Amino acid sequence: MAGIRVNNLTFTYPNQERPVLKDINIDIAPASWTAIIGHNGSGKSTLVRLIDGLLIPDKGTIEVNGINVDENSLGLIHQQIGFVFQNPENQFVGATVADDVAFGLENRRVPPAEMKKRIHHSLEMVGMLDYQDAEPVNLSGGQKQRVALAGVLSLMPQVIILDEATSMLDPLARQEILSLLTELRSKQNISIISITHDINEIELADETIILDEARVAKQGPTKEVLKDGALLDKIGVGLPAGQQLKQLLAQRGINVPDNYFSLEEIKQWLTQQLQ
Amino acid sequence: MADPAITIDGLHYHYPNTKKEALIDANLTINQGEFVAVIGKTGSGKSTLVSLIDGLLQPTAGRLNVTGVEITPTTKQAQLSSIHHHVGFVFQFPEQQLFAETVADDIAFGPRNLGWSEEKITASVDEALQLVNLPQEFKTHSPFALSGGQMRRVAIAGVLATKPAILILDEPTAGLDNQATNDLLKLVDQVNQQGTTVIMVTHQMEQVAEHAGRVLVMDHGKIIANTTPKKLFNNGEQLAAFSLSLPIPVAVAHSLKHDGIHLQDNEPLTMAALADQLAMAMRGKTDE
Repeated sequence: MAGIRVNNLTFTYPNQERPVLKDINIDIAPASWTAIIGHNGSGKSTLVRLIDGLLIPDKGTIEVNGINVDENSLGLIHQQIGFVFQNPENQFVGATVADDVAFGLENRRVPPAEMKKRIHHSLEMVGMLDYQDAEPVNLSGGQKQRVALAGVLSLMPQVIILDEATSMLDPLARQEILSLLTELRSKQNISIISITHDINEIELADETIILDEARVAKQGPTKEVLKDGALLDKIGVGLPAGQQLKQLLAQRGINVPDNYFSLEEIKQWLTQQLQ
Repeated sequence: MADPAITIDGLHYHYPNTKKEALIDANLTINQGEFVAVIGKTGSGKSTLVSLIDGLLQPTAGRLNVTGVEITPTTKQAQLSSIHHHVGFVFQFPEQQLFAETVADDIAFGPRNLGWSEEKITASVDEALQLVNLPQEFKTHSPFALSGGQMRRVAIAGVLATKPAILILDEPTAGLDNQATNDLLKLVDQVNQQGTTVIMVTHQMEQVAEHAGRVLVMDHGKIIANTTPKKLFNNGEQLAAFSLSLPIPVAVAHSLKHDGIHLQDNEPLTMAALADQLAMAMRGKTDE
């Protein structure tokens, strides 16, 4: 069975009384883009670490592309999943950009000739081929995250997990990474799971899962999930701009009809009314 | 006319071993109590400018005066360091620089460096904690046991504890969620209203629109605009040329204008101001 299935998952950190995740059931389709959102401490990072087999659940099961995640399957699971973390500074081991991408491949004992090809190809995919001999310290934050992404892509994973990978970037660099991911996904059969607080990044996802108080508070098509303004506000993502404006207009006696949600839709409605 | 807190004349800075100047002929006056936003692309000279104001760099040409301390290329290091009595600098991701065993020790580090008495230090720690809205019992906690947003507030409390006349913040909300961002900006506004001059480097145009009284745009080492947010956002094309975007409410107003709908104020700086404009236009429509 392709995709990721999480069944009745419960997880408690050692020496803690309360589970950080409780009775979680999630289905993630192959080649889909899923956003996982929730307050700091809501269990988002824990969930993706469980999916990657870095933590072992108290209860429940996880399947990644038909493979049951447990101690025996870790090697196989790690071949399916690649991670990009929040801080680009903490992810570098190589002296040059190419060395850095080589690190993961060396760990997998990929033969040198094949390795060279993969480094070339993955740096090309993220638009960093011209920088292969550059020292990572001389790169901007956005470039560093692109190299981190190349390192992941060189291992040809089925699933890429972004753990707040754009949160330390400036808006331009963030946009660059998000466009790159959109492009990658259109060309390759890759699933993306992104943990994020950024409303623009959430809006790119097909599906959104909201974690709150150790449980799945909501999951479904992003467009539907984003309609729950009160919940978004509660988990710290804040009200999407369209809904903010809608509320402010309602306070001024102007009621935008229910079926207009996004800023774009509301703008269209306003144009019709005011023309 | 308020007293100038900072005056800058013909200021240049050239990093050692680099080809281009990082700051070119900057001229600027910032008055006591202003809230100034500094925007521009990565590498445009924003950090260089604020580092010079904090005495972290010594100019290669020109002069600046920061709350009465005069700085030129020949100023002695001791004089340069004396700026730290007046200027507080909140770096990017300041929580990465927390180091002490307890929150209280971390916050006390700055005041202690300024040579204050223990009594004065204790009082300033209490006051700073209160200012950043953290409970007093946190004093004995390890800063590393706190959440990301709380750690950042501890780091900022450490800067506020020195009671700077000028507060510089370099992208203070990067990486924070919406709630933590709003709380932090509220704190900065509050400190500013108490008379502290605020200089904030940011990439968020909404923050410029909602909080700053004045905005500096930097590009290739030069200050290319020194104006009010309203005037800056009036020219969307020019902004796009600098790879900067419009704040959402202004973008909505401009997009409506493009469709032939003219609001009375075309640069509403907040969502509430935009809603006011729209409500006014709707009423005008029904009265026709």
